[in-house]
Amino acid sequence: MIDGILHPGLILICVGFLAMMAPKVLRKVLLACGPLVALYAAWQLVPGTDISLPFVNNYKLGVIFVDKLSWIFTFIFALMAAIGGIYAAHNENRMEALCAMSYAGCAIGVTLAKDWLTLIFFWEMLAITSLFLIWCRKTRASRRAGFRYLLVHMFGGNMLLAGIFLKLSSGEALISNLASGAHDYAYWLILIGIAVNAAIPPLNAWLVDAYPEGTITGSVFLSSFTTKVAVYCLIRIFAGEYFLMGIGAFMALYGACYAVIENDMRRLLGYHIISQVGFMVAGAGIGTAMALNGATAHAFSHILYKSLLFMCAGAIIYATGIRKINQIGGIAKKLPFVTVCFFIAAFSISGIPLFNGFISKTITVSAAQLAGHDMIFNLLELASVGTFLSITLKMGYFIFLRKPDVDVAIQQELPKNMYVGMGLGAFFCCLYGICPDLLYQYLPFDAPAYQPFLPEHILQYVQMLGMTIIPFMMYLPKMEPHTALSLDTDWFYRKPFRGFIRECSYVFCALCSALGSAWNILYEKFMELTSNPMEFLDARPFRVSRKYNPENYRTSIADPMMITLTVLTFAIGYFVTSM
Amino acid sequence: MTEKSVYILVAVILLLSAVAEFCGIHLHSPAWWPLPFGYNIFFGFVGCWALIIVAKLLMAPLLQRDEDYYDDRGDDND
Repeated sequence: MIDGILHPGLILICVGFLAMMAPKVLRKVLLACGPLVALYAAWQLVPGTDISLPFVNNYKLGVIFVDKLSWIFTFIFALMAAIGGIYAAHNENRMEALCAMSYAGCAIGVTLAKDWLTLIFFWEMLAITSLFLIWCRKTRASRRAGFRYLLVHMFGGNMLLAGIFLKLSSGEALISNLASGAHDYAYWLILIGIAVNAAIPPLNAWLVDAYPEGTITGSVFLSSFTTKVAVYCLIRIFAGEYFLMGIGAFMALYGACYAVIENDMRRLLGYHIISQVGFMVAGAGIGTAMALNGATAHAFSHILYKSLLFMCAGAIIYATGIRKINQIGGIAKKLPFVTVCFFIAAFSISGIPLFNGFISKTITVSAAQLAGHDMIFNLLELASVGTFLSITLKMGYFIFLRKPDVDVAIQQELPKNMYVGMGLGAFFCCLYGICPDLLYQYLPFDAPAYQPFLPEHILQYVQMLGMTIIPFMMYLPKMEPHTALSLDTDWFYRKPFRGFIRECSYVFCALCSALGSAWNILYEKFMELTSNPMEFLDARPFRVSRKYNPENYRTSIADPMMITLTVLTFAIGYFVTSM
Repeated sequence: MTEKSVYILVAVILLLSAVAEFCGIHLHSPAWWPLPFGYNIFFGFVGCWALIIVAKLLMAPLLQRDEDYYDDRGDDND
């Protein structure tokens, strides 16, 4: 508690530590109920709150800075932590409980930061805690993916740190919008650091590489925080940066295209994080109040429906042990509740009216149209078609509706808390979809009120998405994904760069060995000459040196043998004479 | 639900929406091109085919490899 105000992020971190130390039953209660305290604290925050802590050299750490933008992100992060905590309550892994809660807490820490130093502190903690959520799965694949994740985020974090260092050096301690300022080194370094977390291509591959390798419950958290924290930073720091608009539209299509050919459930959903974040990046780039509200609202909605999708995918993997789409089918009859939740999330992400994706996605798309960016408008609409195609139609049909070749067995029943978590996610997706004003009243920027349910908006999406079904049905026999790995930009550091590093290692090892041998020869010669100065008399630089031979230095065993034999002789003599 | 019934359902939905568009729901846009009758139906159909062609016929042959493509087991001790 600072000045009578609770920091929701620190509450979550405390909940994580308590959950780690608590016995099993209490840990369940803490995970399910602890985040509710943070949610209450987030709700209690009032825009305008500004609390700093003293630090060195009269520097003040702005640990709680609340405006409308930071409030809405803090609230949705806390809400997500509450839903995720319930979904993960059955988890017996202590470290995962700590990391999941701390991860959510650090995301809130970044959101509430006023100055660069507080931001980078929580930013780095965010990377570390999320890394352990991947490693908690304890498989070979997760360990290796975790190391790649670590390297990429160390690169991004160090870029951000370098940029912040330059900012602090120039006396700018507070976070501000850089888009209108000079595009100096600090600007680009900070942008690259944030772009890594936002998974902007070509810095995107870590996401689809690492998230599917996390634990079932950990992936739900992972899908919600890192990229959305980056979106928050883009809105706050780079709003109105023109080129982000094009990058965002490209991202939206990039993820959608990869998702069409992807076979791994969570990897497919990972590509759709990239696609949906593309909408938000485009909104930040357009920079009008309406577009920024759209990006904020879409981040809010996205956290709800994407976590629900990851919860459903995790539930299927938990129950069946299968993660590949081409190995599964007929789940609708086996897990009907999961099926309902999945389709609610799928309708939401696709932007079907009365679900929460529709009420947020259309703001950004309409903002692009109103600002006269026709190409961006069309690309975002095309990405919506791709989202409907690959999630609602492809995942919906192949996982839930089609009859599988081999009957998929349910290996273990889902814990009740997983049902509750999914139910809550589905409830909020519907609630905000039906009552958009519950979200709109908290949007941070002053823009004219947006009306999502205008007949023309509904008609537009019904026609566009309805027609998407026809090509899918026509191409259905070939739509099933097959077992394959899609190469992404990680290829560059997993193949050629890795080969380069390996060759460099060989060269340096050989060099090191040669230097070591040369030093060894020099050392031996020097020792030889200095140990016996008479050697100088006939010193020859390259003569064969006398090698060390331990036999020459071994002590003779003659003395102990003589002692033993003498004692033995006397002993035998004494024994014989005494008989 | 059979394949035929899906086609019929989609046809009914699109027909109703087309009637609604024809009868009075007017689209608004600063540009002229989203406004012609049936533009969104056309966009959905062409856009979906474009995505399928790009993803399935261009990206998949070019970018997909065996699942153990990166799997170099000599790299660690597992």
